[in-house]
Amino acid sequence: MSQRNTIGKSVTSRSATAAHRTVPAPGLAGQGLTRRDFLRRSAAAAALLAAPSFVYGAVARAAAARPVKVGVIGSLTGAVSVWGRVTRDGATLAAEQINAAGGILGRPVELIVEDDASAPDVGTRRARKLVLEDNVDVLVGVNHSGVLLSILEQLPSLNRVLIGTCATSAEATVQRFNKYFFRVHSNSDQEGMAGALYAAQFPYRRWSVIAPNYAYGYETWGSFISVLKALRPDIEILDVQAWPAFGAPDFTSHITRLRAARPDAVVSAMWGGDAVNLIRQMQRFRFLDGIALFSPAALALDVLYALGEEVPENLHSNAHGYWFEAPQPGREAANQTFVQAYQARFGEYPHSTAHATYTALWAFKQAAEQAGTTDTAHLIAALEGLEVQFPGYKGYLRKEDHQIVHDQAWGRTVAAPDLPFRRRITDLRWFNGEDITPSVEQVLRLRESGDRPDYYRYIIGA
Amino acid sequence: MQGMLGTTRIFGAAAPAGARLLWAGLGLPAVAGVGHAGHVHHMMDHSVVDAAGTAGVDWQLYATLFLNGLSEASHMYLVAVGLSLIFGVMRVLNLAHGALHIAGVYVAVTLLAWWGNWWLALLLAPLAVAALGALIEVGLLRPMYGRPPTYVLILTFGIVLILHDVLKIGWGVDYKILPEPPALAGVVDILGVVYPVSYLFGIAVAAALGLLLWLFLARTRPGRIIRACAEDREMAASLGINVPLVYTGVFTLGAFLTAFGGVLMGTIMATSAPEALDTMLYAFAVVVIGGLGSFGGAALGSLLVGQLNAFGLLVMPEWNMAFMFLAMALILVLRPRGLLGRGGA
Repeated sequence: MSQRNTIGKSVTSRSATAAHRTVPAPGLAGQGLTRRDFLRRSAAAAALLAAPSFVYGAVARAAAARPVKVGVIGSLTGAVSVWGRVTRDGATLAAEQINAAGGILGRPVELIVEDDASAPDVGTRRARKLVLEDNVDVLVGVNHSGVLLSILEQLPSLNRVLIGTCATSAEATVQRFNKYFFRVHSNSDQEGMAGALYAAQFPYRRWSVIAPNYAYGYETWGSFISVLKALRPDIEILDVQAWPAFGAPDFTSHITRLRAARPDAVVSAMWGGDAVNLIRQMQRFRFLDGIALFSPAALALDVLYALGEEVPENLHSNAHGYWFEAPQPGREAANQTFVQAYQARFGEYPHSTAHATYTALWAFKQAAEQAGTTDTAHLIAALEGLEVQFPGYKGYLRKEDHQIVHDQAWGRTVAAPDLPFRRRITDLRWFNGEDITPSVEQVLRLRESGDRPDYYRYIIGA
Repeated sequence: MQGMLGTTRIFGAAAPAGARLLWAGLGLPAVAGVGHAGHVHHMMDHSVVDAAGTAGVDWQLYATLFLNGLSEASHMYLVAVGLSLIFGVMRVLNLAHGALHIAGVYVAVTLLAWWGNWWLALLLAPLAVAALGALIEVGLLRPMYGRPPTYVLILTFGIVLILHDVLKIGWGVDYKILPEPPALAGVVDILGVVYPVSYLFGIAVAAALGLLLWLFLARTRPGRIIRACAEDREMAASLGINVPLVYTGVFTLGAFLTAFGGVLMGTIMATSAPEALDTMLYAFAVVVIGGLGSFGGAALGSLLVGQLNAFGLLVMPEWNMAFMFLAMALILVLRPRGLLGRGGA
């Protein structure tokens, strides 16, 4: 049983006739998910509750052309459930705005949201279901790199484009590139490179890591530390490293062991609930008194909302690629409009993943209208090289690997009494998108050889 | 594209080739100027760090790991003891025990939102879950007692699914954490072993509850009645003991303890409804090792699993959880009734 919401065409548009006024999605935010999950287990209620949404769908079809269906995949339950929620929220806001502006190719957008539960097999089933049963025109989202790498294999046989908006595993656009996958979020190579360039300015000499033991953890640490080692040959990479399982709630013994190895700085690739647990436990054990922490995702907004003042100052992060207060110069107005619209709709500031997913839908609209169709082959051609206007920055989808290239900034936390979570990221240093992205030749070479990146030698014991 | 807020372009227009070379691991031309740029926060004194001896560090590491093991044991014990007690007395394998544990956290979140008092939440949330436990026993389990054990097993699994969805509908899917009460903030420094007060509090409270429970079962009349029901329920009934009342009492007590453990755990780590299943898994490992139905077995199993997880990290950092399940498998082969379990399975 899946959640199906037709987001109505603009009710503000004067030319819209009464027949065009379909019911706006009441359940997409907040309650929608829980209702869906409840339905899954109560068939009787499902029959009753599903009836009205079927009627809405019928009205929409009668009133307008066949809707353009977008399948949204996110981790809506489990350790990173907030990331799934903001994936859905970003898509919802974009769909509502796109429908208010006349839809895509004059057709309304319909979102169908599925939960992958951070499990590769579930994600694969959901992707197949979205294409084979719901016949969606395009897939967007995916938070977990393991899920992404698994869905990737299915795309050619499903003949659909997936626009990735969160999971950063570089493998997906390098060694395991396939033409159906585009990513409008920075990948682990870019985050690692930018992070290392940023970290190189600090005097820290002894480095270690705490990261989940799968693709995202390995690639984030590997790209970061290999670049840092090249920039700063004087650093020491410790043998004592912590590679807990994704979703393991207790890191105290990992923290104890790491601290005993006396690192100056630690890279963390923890995210979601894991990052909440990690920072809280590090704080309780006074781990961060004297050890610096560098982490892309550990200071994404979900962690700040969960921990607030428990987040110490002077943690280093890129807020997973987007800090809502700091757009690139020239994007201030667009960013402000987005932040305000998002706040008005969901009552919170936009998470980096909401920002990317919101952008993915607009990029899809742009490409589909450029191609004049949502047909997959034409869509791929239109997406290749597409200039993408994020609220916070501009970028382009590189033709050869379908990876977005945009500038990104790293900074550190300071107290911010004016924000609900009382912390902000400041002292941002921006890095040029092209400088932090491996060259096309390098990507193609790795794709052909299929080799693991060299940096796996810095991963001890995982 | 120039950035804002003191943008520094690390590579000038002429340098990107140097950046690219880095990726091939060919060295570092054109990046020599990086080190001097930007802000430097809390400089480290490396000479101090390196001068520290390692002998003291090892001792402190072991002591901290031991305390970590105790802390984990205290969480698992509060879940496992109820699970074991309920099985021992009622012969019911309560699969909903982990969900009741998590429910304690969720109820405490709401109580804290209302009154903002952690201590009140620590007391009232388990009481609320205990009341729910009593309702479950009287309303759902009692009609099942004459039936084959699988019926009850399936019923408790149904309760897991329902509780799971109720928690999601009522509290949302976000992870929940409880704030630390000011009285438990801070750390204790014992000979260089720095340990958080809140963790020590959890250990002490679990130990105290375990002791009280043991005194209750060993020394008081209701305790003896409970043990009598566990030994032989027909005989206990024929002696005039109100067995259904004992069952309700034991189930309620188990629900209270597991929810109490939930509030303590929620103060240390973030949790969400799906973790009920993991909690169940660990609690099972504990009671299988210690002996299902054995009160002392839950304590011994918790201590053993806690220390295995903590020190297993030194042997196999990435797979430390394997030790717990290896121990469980070993026990199942060599001594199926568990370390302190009595009688056949």
